[in-house]
Amino acid sequence: MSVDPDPILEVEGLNKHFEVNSGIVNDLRTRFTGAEKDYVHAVDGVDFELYPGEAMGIAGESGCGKTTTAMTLAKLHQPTSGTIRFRGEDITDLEGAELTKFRQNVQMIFQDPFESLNPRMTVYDTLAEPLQIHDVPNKRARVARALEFAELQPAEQYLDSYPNELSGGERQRIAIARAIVLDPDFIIADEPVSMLDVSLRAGVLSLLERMTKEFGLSIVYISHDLSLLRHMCDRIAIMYMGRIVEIGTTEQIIDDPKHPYTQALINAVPVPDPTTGRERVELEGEVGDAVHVPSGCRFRNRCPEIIPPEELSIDQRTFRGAMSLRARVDRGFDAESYWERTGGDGRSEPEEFTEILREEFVLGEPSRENREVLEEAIDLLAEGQTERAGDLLRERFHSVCERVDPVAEERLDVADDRRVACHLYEPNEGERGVDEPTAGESAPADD
Amino acid sequence: MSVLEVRDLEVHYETDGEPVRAVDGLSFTIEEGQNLGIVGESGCGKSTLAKAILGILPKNGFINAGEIRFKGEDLTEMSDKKRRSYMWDEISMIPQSAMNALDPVYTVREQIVESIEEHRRGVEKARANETVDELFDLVGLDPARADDYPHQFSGGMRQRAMIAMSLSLDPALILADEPTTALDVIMQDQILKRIGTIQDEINSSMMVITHDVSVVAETCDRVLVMYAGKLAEIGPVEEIFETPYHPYTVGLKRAFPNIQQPDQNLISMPGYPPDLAPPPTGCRFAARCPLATETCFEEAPPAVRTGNLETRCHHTDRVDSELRPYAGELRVWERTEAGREVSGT
Repeated sequence: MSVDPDPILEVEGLNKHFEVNSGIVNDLRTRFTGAEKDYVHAVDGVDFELYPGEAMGIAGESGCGKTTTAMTLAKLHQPTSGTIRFRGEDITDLEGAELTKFRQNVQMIFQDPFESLNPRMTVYDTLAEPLQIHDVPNKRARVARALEFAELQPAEQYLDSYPNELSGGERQRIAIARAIVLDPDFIIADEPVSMLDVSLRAGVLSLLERMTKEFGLSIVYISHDLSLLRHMCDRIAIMYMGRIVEIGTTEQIIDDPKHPYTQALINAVPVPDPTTGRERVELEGEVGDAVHVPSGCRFRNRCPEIIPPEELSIDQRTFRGAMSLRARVDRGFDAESYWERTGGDGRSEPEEFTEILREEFVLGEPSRENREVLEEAIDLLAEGQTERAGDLLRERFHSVCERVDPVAEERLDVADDRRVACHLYEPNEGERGVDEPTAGESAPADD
Repeated sequence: MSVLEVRDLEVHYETDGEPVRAVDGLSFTIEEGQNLGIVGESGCGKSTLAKAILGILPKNGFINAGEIRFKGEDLTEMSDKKRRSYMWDEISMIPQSAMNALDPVYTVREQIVESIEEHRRGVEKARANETVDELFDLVGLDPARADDYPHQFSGGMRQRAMIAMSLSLDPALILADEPTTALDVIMQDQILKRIGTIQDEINSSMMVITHDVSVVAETCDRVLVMYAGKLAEIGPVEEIFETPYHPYTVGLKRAFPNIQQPDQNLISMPGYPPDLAPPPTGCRFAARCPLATETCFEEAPPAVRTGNLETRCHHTDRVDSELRPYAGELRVWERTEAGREVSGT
């Protein structure tokens, strides 16, 4: 764990945005119309630090930006903005010879050993190549040592093999040997065992564990498998839509998650034991649109604990129903699809229309006032007065979660050193407001 | 009557040399409304078994001997035409990769309606459409989305659409081949939950093929552990997980990290499954088994009953005292023939 107080890696405000539709036609279109280009906010404001000898996990759903973060750390992507410091030195904009020198210190292990090894290179060539690039002497001895460490013995037997002659487990061990042959300071492992058969996983995992211990390496594991991260990591960061929503020690994150998203994620992990049940947090919908990111908290559309205004007395289900009706209206209410569902001819069944909407959006046990507002809005929708319905809903149902972007920071009422980005907990300092550049550029979008 | 009864099934693959005996004398049954999980590592024959049941073995594969009885009728004896009429109608499947299973040029609704119309001649279009809406509700998708094309769905939604499709004709048996392997944890959880709901609402039986023991723990009543084409152990899911008696099952259980037991040692059993062309004599697990004796290498293991478990092993009586307490220690597994080979001693 963090023996040395100086971090080996410091990441601050890291952003990586990818342009959408960057083809020539679109380029011309935006040039002539002056329209703004769209960007996928793959990594959008990530801060963390990695200490020497530490194993850190980054977890999250597909598309949360965990792999992009990893690639940016290894400088396989140039960050859009933000800084990465390695041993105190800013490496964000390194180029040429300096970049090559930095790369000697960082290695990656990829998910698929069938794709990450060049099929035309022998094992020796694969391992000797980085040594050649960095002009390291004693190639043969170093290659043999790396192979032996990766439990590929006797090493001579493997030197002239091609990847297609090896099993998946052996290939991943070659990939590990390649990662350590330069004696790097930190390693990034992106889903290192997810492509391997069960019987081989445990072996590769214990090799990785041994590797970090013996060489005192720092390692970043990227995985959606929390059982695996719990087993391998000292600290875990949970990512959602390009942001870290919670970061803390493995015990803090797994045993006592604070962020509603972390809670949902941990409860979703299946347990290989039919006798212990697990509590399931209902988490519907999918990760939202990373192009038009929602204002405020990015998780709010799926959050089971979205915060109602203080003056409003309302249960969570009713509030969520109201908020999703509001989002539906803000996004441009598609009345036609509801009229179609009435089964009537055109608009002949207004009662059926309001009934369908009520069933979908008036949930929980609304108080009389809340029910009245909701039903009035639905009546307005039936009359085609979408804008007025929107105003009515916005006036009563709104949330701090959509207005203010929560910062991942230590919270006063979370009594430990973890960082949580959620309004449910007392902030330390000021929060970022709606004027923050990435927020508020689009109407609040629902899933 | 059992929904599915497999008796002494042998499936072979032709090769240039000896045929590969991928499934070798397998027998089991699935009762109505029951979910059976089939677990084993790559190459143990679990996918071959599914293909044999569905009648979609590759060209060089054939059923050498044995029976596959579906509601009493032997599928292996059936004419191709009759058998085809059974597919989807009585036996459907949820494939591993829904990405490739849906046709990209038709809407999801068109594809499901087509399969209903194909098997239920004369069914009204409106009725078929209603079925689609009901099924979408059941698997937790908005029926309005049925008119979308597969590319408009996320991976998890496509997998749920495939589940809806597999249920469209109310089949008696559903084969799910690694139904959640390609999905991330939130999607996996939603699919597992749906499988649970379906079990409660529809009386279909299910055969879930997977390498992930936690998926089996959450969806199945009974588990069959396969090793090198043979049944190693079969029984109720609780007993398989709590007190397995086959050394292979004991080791397999140790190969998975459990989020609720952070300190459990992970064990990788040294060695690989044997070559099946031809298979070795005796117990096929012997070379990797800490309890193996000379007998194990010579004689096929007997079927031994302990509680509700059926285990193919010569030494089930030694598991409790000699293996279970030490199963978390790697050196125990290194003392096997395969282990000695790996460490070069």
